[in-house]
Amino acid sequence: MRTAHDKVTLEDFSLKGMHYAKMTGVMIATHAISDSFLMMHTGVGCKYKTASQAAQHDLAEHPNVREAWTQVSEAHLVAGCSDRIGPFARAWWERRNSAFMMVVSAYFIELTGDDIPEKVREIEQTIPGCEMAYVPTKAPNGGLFDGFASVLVEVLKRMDWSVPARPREAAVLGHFFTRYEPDQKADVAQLRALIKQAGLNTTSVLFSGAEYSNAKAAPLAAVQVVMPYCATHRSAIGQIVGARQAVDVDLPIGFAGTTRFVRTIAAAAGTDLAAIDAWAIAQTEAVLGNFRRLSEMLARYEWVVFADTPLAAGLVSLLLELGVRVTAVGLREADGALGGRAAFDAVLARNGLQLPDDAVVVEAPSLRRVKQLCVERLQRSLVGILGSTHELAVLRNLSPAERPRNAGVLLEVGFPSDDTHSVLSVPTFGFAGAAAWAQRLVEAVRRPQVSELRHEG
Amino acid sequence: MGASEDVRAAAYAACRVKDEAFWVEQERNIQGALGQPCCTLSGIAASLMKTTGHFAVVVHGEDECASCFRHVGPAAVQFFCTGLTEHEFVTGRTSEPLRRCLRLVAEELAPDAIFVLGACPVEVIGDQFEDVVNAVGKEFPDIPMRALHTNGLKVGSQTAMLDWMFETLAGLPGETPRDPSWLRKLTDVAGEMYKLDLRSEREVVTEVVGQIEAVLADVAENRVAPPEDSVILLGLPRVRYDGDASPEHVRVLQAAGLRLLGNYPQATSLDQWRWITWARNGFVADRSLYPKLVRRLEAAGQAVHEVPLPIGVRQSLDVYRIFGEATGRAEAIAEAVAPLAEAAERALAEFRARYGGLRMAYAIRMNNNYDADELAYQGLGDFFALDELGLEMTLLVQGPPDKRDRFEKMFERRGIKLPFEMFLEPWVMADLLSAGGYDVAYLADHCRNEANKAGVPMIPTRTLEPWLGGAVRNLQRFDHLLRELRGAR
Repeated sequence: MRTAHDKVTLEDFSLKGMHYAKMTGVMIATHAISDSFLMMHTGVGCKYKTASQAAQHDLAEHPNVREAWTQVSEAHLVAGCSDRIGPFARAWWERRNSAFMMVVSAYFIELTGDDIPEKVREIEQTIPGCEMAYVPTKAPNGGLFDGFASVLVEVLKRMDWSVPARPREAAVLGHFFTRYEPDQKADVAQLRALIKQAGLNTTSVLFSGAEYSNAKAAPLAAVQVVMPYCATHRSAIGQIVGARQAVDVDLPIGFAGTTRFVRTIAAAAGTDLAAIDAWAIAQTEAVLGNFRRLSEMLARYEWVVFADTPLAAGLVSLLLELGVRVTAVGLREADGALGGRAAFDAVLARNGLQLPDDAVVVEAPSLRRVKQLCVERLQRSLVGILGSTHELAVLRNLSPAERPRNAGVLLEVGFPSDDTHSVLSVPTFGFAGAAAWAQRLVEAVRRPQVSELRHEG
Repeated sequence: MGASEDVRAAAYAACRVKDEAFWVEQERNIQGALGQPCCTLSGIAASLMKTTGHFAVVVHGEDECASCFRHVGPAAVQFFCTGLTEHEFVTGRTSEPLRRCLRLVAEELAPDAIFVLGACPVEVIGDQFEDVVNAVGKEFPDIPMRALHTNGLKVGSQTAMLDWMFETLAGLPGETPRDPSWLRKLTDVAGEMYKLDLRSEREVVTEVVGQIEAVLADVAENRVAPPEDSVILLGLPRVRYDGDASPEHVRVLQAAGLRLLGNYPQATSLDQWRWITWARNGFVADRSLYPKLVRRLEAAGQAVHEVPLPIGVRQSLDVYRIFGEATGRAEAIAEAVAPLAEAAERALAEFRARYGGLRMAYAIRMNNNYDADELAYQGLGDFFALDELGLEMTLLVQGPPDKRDRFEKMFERRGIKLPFEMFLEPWVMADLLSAGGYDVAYLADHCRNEANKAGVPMIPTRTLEPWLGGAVRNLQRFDHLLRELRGAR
């Protein structure tokens, strides 16, 4: 949708499963740099677009420890309010000693025509040891992932790309790190391990919860691994990394997905692919060998997946590889910011997989559509549903009159996952991630219920 | 990055001196109140999200602003957004998307009400969107449509926002209450039906069928309690854990022949808001929070009685006493409460004997939310529940230390004479807790990292259970927490 005038159906106007602000994406990226700070040049309501959206998702580190707002009200707006940023920025730097400060503004302030970028540049000259960047949020924009990639670009712009690159090193750009819990740390560890398998050491992962100085080491790597969450700013990133070898990858999820991830990087690094193929076959067989005897448990279920396009492509690939029947997919991000259906189909094709002919793929489904898709399936079958807190909440909130005939199992994944938290370092990426997901699926469908026990007992 | 670090350091020092004037001006706006500023769009949207019923909410603004509240709640599927962009704001052509959205919602969903919430940019350009709402409302006369100029520009209080929203909901065309008891009874009968099997005695089957018929008769008659036997609660906490089929206070009221029409706004439906004025008696925690709503209730003939939050033994007993006095059923309520009170008093006495004298930090002014019970009595609603435990309490107040005298006066007004400390930001909490030598702390949930750092067990704000049964469970929880503490030491 370019403008509100392009909206013509109720679905167009309906609240989406991933109806997030660009500001939320800016928050996620900033939160993922441990010594950064988000300065919101906003009114009070914008506070709820940031830390509040992740507060229940990340129980390891509350995002409010690295954000503040300039408390703009109507009176300030009339008088011009960009002068407020400086005192707040300096006072907060003094408290937090941040190495990087991201300034984001609300559109209603941008409407006044204040030259905020220039103001931020001026303020940066008054804060020692802290780099500052600015991202506006004028609509239309690419929402969550636009904000996320915007921060990445601002960070990359502040790096010294004139340093000599080390040939056996890689940096990861655009990893969607949303919380400091062990599951996401496990994914970062998987990225490093898979890149190691491809023959390279990982200099830095942007983003991974590491410090700003670690992120800034990216130019030392000859190979820049570009994750699909960079989609909205891919060309800008290409221009910044310049002569470095930029390698686009899909998420390393599932057997084919993980194998391709390693092969793609190995090919760029000139590593022997035959050895990698042998390793991948052995890893695949190790997981599938354990899973095959349990696969029958999943056969009675239809599966529905709601996730952003890269994650959905990975998870659906894995499900298909495990032999289960996926009948509906919701690509959560707004306006196809991550490529939507075309990107999803392309990943499946690259993995050599195909959805059943009767499967439905919906882009940016509204929560109303989510409900409809799931309930109609639950009327005819047992259904396993993978989705974020938002999609699963719709199903948890069904009224007694709406409750369907069959049971459904709910598995929380993606952002936000307010009810799923990890103690163990359980990844989604890599062969270990495939095994972990197979375990989750089996446990979900075999979870004992009180009513079952009653009949059995 | 043009300047060297030395030059920047010098510039920083110079700017910080100049910034002082800004901060003096900034702090002039801070009153001695415990609430925080709020965005009315965010607050009303978040509150409506939790409300059940067949209504719709249209956020009139950018898509950005449809994420200034969490998308989790029974009403999430009934939210819409006009998704205005720069094109609409610059040209001023905001009416058409709203008109189209309202018509689609009205035609396809036919909700019982539509609420249209404005966003900041809409206010900045002076969009009088109520004109569109009123015009479309005339096309659908059976659907009440309300335009609310919500935004985060006119920084108001959380309580004023709630009062505005509640008054709007209560101002919808009224309805006679529907008797909800048949649904509960039917659920009970369903449980009985589930126990039947092929070997069941004929008499047992006949009895269950008789129960079903009785419920059906109830449905047909809609036996609504008359106003004098009906009560409403406003701003009281929700019962989350109760082993019985209905919560303790509902059972107590029923024992006195009273029917609870709703505990507003907790888990209430749109229907319940439409019959809020039916009851002769209403009980409100901190009526000063809801001047508009209370005015509407009183204008409809309802007697509105002030009650404390029913958290802890003393406060719960006070609320039950007020129920009895206000409705003229003191004896019946006292009789229903007596066994609960005895158990709670006993548990409290045992707790005090075991743990009296331990040091507790009670932090306030740290949360920015829209929960009526948390806002009541300036966030001090739980204070007296913790005070009765015999602990040595200190208040930790987030706010500018130089405004200490204002807070001191406010505490005095509320009869609280305790040592208190002011602090600026949540991340000094670990140091505060360590320095204070506290055994346990009552803190906003986002302080858990700080509490962990200090090694002080914490009770998250507003997680205490209400009523007498809840008080006993709270004591068990504290006991568990403090036993662990003693074990650790």
